[in-house]
Amino acid sequence: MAIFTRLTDPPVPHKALPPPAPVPVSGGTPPQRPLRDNPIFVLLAIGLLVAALVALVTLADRSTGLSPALLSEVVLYALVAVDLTMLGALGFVLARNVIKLLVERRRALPFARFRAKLVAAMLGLALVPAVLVLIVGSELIRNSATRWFAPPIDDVLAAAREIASDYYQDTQVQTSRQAVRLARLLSTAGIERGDVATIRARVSPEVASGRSTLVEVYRIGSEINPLEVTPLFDVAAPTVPRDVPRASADRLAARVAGGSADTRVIEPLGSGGEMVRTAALVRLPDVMEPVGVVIVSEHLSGSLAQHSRRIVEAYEGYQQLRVLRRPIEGVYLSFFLMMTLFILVSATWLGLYTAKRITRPIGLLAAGAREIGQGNFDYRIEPETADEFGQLVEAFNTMAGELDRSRAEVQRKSREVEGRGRYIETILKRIATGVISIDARGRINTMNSAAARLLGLDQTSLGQSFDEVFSRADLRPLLSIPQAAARTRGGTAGHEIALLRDGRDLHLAVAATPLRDEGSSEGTVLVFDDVTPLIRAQRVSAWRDVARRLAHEIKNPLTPIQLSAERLRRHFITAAPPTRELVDECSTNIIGAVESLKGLVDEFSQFARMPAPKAVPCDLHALLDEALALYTSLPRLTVAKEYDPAMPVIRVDPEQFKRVVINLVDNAVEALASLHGGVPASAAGTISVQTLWDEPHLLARLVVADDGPGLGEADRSKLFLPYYSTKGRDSGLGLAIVRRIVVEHGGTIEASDRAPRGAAFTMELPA
Amino acid sequence: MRLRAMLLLACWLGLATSAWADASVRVETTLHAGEVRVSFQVTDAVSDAVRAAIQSGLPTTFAYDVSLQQSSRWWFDRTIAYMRLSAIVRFDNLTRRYQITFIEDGRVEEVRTTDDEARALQWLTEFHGRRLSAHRLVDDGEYHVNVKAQTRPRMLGWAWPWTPGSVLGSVSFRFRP
Repeated sequence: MAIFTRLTDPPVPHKALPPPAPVPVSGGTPPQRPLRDNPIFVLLAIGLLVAALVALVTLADRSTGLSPALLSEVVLYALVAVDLTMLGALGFVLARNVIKLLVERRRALPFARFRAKLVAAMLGLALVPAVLVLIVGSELIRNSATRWFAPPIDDVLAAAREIASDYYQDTQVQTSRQAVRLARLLSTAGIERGDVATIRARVSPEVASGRSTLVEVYRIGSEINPLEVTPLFDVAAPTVPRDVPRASADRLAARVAGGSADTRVIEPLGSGGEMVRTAALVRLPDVMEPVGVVIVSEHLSGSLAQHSRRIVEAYEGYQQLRVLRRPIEGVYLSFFLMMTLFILVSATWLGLYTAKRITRPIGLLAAGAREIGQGNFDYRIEPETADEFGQLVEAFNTMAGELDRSRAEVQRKSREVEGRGRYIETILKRIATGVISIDARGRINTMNSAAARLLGLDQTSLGQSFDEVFSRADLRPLLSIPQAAARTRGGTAGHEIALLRDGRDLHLAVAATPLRDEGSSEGTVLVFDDVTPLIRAQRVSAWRDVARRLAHEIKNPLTPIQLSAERLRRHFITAAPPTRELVDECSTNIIGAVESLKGLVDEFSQFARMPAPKAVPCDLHALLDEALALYTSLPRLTVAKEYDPAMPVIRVDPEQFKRVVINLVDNAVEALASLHGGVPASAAGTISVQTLWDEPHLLARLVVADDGPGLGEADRSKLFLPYYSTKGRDSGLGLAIVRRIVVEHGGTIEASDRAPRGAAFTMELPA
Repeated sequence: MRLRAMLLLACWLGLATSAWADASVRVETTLHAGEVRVSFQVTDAVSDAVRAAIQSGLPTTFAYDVSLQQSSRWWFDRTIAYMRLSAIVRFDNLTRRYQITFIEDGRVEEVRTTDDEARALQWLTEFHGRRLSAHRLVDDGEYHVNVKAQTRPRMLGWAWPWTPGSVLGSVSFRFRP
């Protein structure tokens, strides 16, 4: 019977705890951290990136000094390639993050939104300044480039270049004219003959007059090579430096003699100046055959040449800058774009990295908390860092360890409590004392089987109001007990209640104890003890005492009365017949009454001095046969025996058992006789005697039944009381003796009505 | 906004190819004593940008990749001869003279100077009778002479530098001895 299960609620703790799962992290080799999470690797990568940026900055700074081919075909290519790579990386990282966010949200994975928010925040923080830097920088470059090529500078440089160039052009034109004029002058000077004196005479005045600075004359043709040029004469003004090399003049003469139209050359001098040379062919007047070459040179001072070169270099640098404006702008814009993308990629990566650094230990902690929540108290997290998160992980592991120890302690105590609870439950189940607990709201909380049996309740009463359940007519006397207990203020209220259940008196000793915890009422516990047998025993004891006294007080005078009556009868045996008949009749009545009183007193005496049974192993069926043999003389009475062949040997007192059987059968005979005048000899009917061996309970069951008038409802509860008789002419001790013998054998006896009529006494004796 | 960005990109791409926008290469081949000689001329080769680069004194290279390929019906054409010609022009803004250095397969062949711009440009864009191959040609074989011309430095924008920046010309002939 599970009525008392609530007493041990809540459920046993250790059953709710699953067995420890294998430790996933703790112990063994810690998992290898990915390379990207290695701080050294991250620092190295950052260092390399910074170095690359520095190199790029340096390169961009020197971009104007780089060769145009390198600038436009290498640097620009590299920067654009880097830009595109970083753009792709940024797109990839963002797309991957978005896709990952969607997937993780669909899978309801933790921290996906946090990671996305952190990345978005970092990107948003970096995006605005980076794009602003890009826009401002681009505009700055464009404005700077526009200012580079502003009209004043352009005009000044162009004009300066024109001046320098025109001066050179004029010098070249003058030398060219002078060379042509000298060539005509020398056409008849006998160059083909090598007439140096004539040549000197015609050339020297030109130099002396200052029209030419340096004149060199060559003769064309020799015996070996007709195109070979041979220097014949040269004359120089004093202003011509001494270090003027002749080689360039020789090459120019040879080139012109060879028919080249390129007759001019500008030769830089070691002293810093330049020589502007122009050659002209000397032809014979009639046949126009070239016979010589005259070179007229003009010396440009070092400062003039240097200034002119500087002007031209500046102009060319300016123009080249204009030509290369687009690649240079491209380099700068690419660089700015690269910086912007680098910032965005770095912000994105930093967001992801930071989110990972934050969420990973938190995720591990969450997973650990889930494991702990599922009862895996052996779960530990391997700390990956020594920072605050690492300390948090260490604290978690410490907490898990403490929880593990606490769990073990709780399990141990739980087992103790469970054992104690089972012990108490067993006690409450086994004891004959009924226990009912009522909660603070007046509802029945628990009820053991004894209480249910005594009060005729079942499990449906649990949870119901005490007042409703005990408002039943037979239980109403118990209704006021909890209130009475509450008035005791912590004490125990004892009551003795008599209930009428199933037509029988039930005497209960009820103890009600209010439950209090820190002053508040938590209900009441009612304890019921069935004291009916005790009451009954007290009554029997009292009756036995009365019987003993009656037997003593009544039996003593009976013998003298009987003897006196017999003496009177003997005395009057010789008297007259009427007197003798009167005396005989009176003495006979007196002696009969005395005998009857003696029998009555003997029964009283027997009931009062009934000895303790001396149980020995007996064959019940043999004892039954011996007892039932007394009734074979009754002609109209049928005794039907129905013995269970499986009946084993039972330990009983043979005489007392026969007494029980005789008393029960006597009772049945008298019941049958009551239908036919009340004389036992006139009893007619059937008395069935049935035995049954109850193997599961090891009980020998004996049923004596008749088809007489049956038992009255009112009499049924008093049948076994001493001196209670429905016939009014016997002692009323028969069934009381039966009950006493049966009880002293450890058995029980019950009386019941049979259908359609008759009564049955069922006796159970332990084997 | 998107249309503006696309137009800007198109402008950049257009600028990248403007140097040879209207140029074309006319190629002629001659066979002389078993040699394949090539003459080619690039018309409208010098754009304003290239002219400005030359006038700025920037050494400007006109590079030509000349190849002789034998046609193959079932496979790629086989290159049987290759020549790389370069003409580097340097304009001296002081003397207003053009100095042109001719390089063939990495060797300096000739240096010419002139103060005539037209002549200088002609030297840069016209090549005559260049000996390409002395290989024995297959009778009735079909051949192609391809000339790819390009200038350096390339005056490119920064948006997309990977533009071809060159112009191609070719001529085919069938060898019949």
